Amino acid sequence: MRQAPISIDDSALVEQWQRGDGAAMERLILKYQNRIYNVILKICADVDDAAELTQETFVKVIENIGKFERRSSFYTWVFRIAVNLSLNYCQRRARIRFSSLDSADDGRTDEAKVTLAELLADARSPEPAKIAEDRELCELVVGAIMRLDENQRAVLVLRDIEGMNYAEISKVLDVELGTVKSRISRARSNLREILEASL
Amino acid sequence: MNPMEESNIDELLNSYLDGELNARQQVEVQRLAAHDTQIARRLADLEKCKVLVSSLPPSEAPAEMLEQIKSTLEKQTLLGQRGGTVESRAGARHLFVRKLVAAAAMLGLVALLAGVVYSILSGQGTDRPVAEVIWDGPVGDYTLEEAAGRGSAGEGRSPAVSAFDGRVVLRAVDFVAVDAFVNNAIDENVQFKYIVEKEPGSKSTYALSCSREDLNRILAELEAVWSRCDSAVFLLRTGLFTEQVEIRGIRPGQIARLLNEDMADGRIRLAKDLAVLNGLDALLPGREVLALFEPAQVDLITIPKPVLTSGEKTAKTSVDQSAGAADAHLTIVVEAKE
Repeated sequence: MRQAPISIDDSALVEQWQRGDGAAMERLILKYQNRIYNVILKICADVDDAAELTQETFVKVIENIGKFERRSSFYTWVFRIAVNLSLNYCQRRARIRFSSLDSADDGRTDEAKVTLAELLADARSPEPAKIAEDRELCELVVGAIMRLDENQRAVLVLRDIEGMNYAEISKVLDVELGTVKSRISRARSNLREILEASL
Repeated sequence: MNPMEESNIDELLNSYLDGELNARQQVEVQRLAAHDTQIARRLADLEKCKVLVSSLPPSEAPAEMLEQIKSTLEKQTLLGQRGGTVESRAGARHLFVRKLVAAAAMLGLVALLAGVVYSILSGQGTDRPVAEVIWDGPVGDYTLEEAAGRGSAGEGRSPAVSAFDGRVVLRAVDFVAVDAFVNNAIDENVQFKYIVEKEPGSKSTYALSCSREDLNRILAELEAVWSRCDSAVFLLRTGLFTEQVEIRGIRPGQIARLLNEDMADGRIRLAKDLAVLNGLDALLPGREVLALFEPAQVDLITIPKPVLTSGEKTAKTSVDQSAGAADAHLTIVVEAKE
């Protein structure tokens, strides 16, 4: 599981930032930039666009920090902005994204597919380290994630990549807890089907 | 297992994998998986999916991210300030010009209305050719006296006193009812009439030559049917330079006002003013122009109808038996509107 948010530190830094402390702003950006970028990249699957969207997220955060009333944590607020920007981007670029994925699929080797087939057939749980090392297998998985519906993709990324709990996902996406549960369930079920179909 | 149950089980298993269940629920899921191979297999499949996704290597943001953010903000601040200044100046200019144009337009409209109203109330029109003039033929050498001569020649009137000569075209969807009403109004109020043409169901033309009093009575009666007409266009035949003045949206009261204007030039000016007034009224929403200036001006003569005391129908008299002089000529055309 990924690192958990440290809300107490965030709260203090946000307060300093709102009082005009530029160093606090920089610390918060540095703290979250990789995580935000990682989530955005897994949602939009384009390195350049992910960098741009990350930048846009922080610019929005900076522009609106004065209005941030701390009703939610800074962590969920900043991810909410990032995910909203990413989902809007996905809706705008849907056609381009699918065409690029289709072309990327052609380059994958049979070796990765074999590995994936073995993984899915094996009764044992796969080893995360081995998966992470297999670049082509990772591409296959990312390709499958990209074929999910945007909302399902977002919950899956927030849960399994960012490591948010259901309550945090519910706040970030502004949906009911039950909706998060059902989306995660459908997302994993669909992902399994997509992976099997890709073999 | 039906799809609903399957979905609920999946949600439960996923919640278990994600650590969203309390201790008791976790034990229940473990028991369930231990006793049901299908559920155990499903749990394993879902766990693989979770591991596959969560094992993806994290990507790091470009090293220069913070600098890029700062740079973007600086650019936005600079552009925003400049842009804001330019936009606000341009906006202020635009607003000022719009206000100026609106004020000028309002002043022009007020001046025009004031002129029209003044000329109507004072009976002194302007010389401006404000109304639409329809040329009805080649320009002749008619004089005012000649133009006014129709219907009044040899009647001992002053040469400046003009006979009234006009034509009103009423178009109505409910042609039959309107035509019947008009026919009846003429029958009851004028002592002599000419029906020039009747095309059943589509058009009726009534050419009236009667006294002003008779025509006033007809107009008073027609007031009741006017609202059922879809359009009413009046043409004042002046005879002067063969011009005709067209007034759209004419009302019976306006025709009466023209009728009661003795002087030919005054009638023409009044007709032109009414044409402008009606035109403005049609253009402005709510048609409040006439409502503001006209209500008190309708001077239709209302003469109580004679009450028949016997069962005998009043016989129509010929024009020769008419007491008043036939110095009012009005052609009423009723047409069916498609």
